[in-house]
Amino acid sequence: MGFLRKKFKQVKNAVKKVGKAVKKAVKKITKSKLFKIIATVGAVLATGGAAIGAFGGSFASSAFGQAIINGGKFFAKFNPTSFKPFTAAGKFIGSSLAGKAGTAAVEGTTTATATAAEGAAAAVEGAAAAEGAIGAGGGFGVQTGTLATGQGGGGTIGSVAKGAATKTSTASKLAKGTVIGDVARNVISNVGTGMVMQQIQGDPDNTGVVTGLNLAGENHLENLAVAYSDANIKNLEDIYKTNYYGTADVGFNTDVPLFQQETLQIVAPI
Amino acid sequence: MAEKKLKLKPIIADNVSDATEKIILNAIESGYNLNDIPESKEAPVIGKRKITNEGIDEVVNLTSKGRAIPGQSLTNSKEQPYPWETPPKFTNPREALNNIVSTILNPKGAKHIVNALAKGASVTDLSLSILYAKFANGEITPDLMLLLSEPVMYTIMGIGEEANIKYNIDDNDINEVDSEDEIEQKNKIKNLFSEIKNNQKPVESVVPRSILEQIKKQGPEIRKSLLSKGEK
Repeated sequence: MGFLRKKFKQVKNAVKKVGKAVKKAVKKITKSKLFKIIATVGAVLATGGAAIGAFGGSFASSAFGQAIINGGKFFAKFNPTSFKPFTAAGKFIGSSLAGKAGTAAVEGTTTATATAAEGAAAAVEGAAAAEGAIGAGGGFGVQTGTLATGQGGGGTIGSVAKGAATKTSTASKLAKGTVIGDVARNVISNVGTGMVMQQIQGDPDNTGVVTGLNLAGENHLENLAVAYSDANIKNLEDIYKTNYYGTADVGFNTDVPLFQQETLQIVAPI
Repeated sequence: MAEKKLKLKPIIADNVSDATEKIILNAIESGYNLNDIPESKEAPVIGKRKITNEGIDEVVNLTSKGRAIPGQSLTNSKEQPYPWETPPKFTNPREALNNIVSTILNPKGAKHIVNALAKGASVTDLSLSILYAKFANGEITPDLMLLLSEPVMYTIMGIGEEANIKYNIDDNDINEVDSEDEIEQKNKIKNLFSEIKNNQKPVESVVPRSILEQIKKQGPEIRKSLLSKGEK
């Protein structure tokens, strides 16, 4: 316990250090008042802004207290209760990877033999493709999409798909009129159409308008970028793994649901 | 005309003290006056620690119970591990801090903390016992316990300030004088004597006006050497 106490004692020195730094900037301030301000601001930051609401009192109503409350509303602007970056990322990756899997499957039908093509077409209606379709909308597709892309070539997909088709035809799960069958057919036809359109149109050229030097415009994110750069935070992932304190912290004044949401495993970009 | 105040810059730091310092300094630069924050008119409750015979007896009783024999824990069954030997409930420091803070800021929890601070318990002891209990219950790891020490201490200090208590931060340091402040004060007094000796006007901020007036009245007498011949 001795070393624990030592570690805890360090905070007292840290508070004294803050007091000295502030006292240099403000000459006429009583020691008790200065200490009160440091302790209250520290508590507000440690609780992610919750303490302002909990304490209320004179500090919250003062101009300085209000400035801190308003100063930490960068992330609150994005409606934190519905702001779920991981889910959004999961959806994005899920849809893009499912799209790639679909593209690979369609490529398989064009390059393989007629039998393989039939197999691929059947595979489109198979359970794997159906999972891919679910993936396009939600997060689960991420894993399925990765596996399908990994198998790559048309022949392989065709043969795998044929097996899947045989299995599903016996079970008659994907017959017309069934929910899974209809969803699978719809999605794969959409994916196929998208692929064909992309083949016709080709890759988009890099186009744009040269606008010259952009001088004007208030950019809130610029301030945030400076704050994060000063704190030496280079990776966005660090924000979730470690505790950071301040008005630029994503957890400040935004309530906690952001950190309590169900998170999806983000697949490394291919 | 009211002084124009700038918007505070967004600030982020990896520890509470740094973030606090940056925010307060930024506020001063932006034109906020810290003296504008109203001070409590009531006298603070002094959380002075009292040592009683009952308290000493309790400590003696606790320490005389003895400790575990070295290696005793190895004799325990593997099927019944201690809570701290199992995977912790919280691995994310944010989630752990949210949990602890919600316990502390709970009206019941805050009431206990205010009572303890008013009776002379130090912020260090309170935060250490809260975090140690969380570790012993298998909720956090020892690493998390150390990481959370600072924010938990600040939260308790915030509660103490809000309750208008003059509390101990560590041990019984309520009346502790800062060594640097002491040196500064000594130097001021030293300068004051030399100023009086050299017939200079002492600074009003150092000496209260009433004392200054007394000095003014008795100035000629003070300047006289003790060895000088008195008036006959």
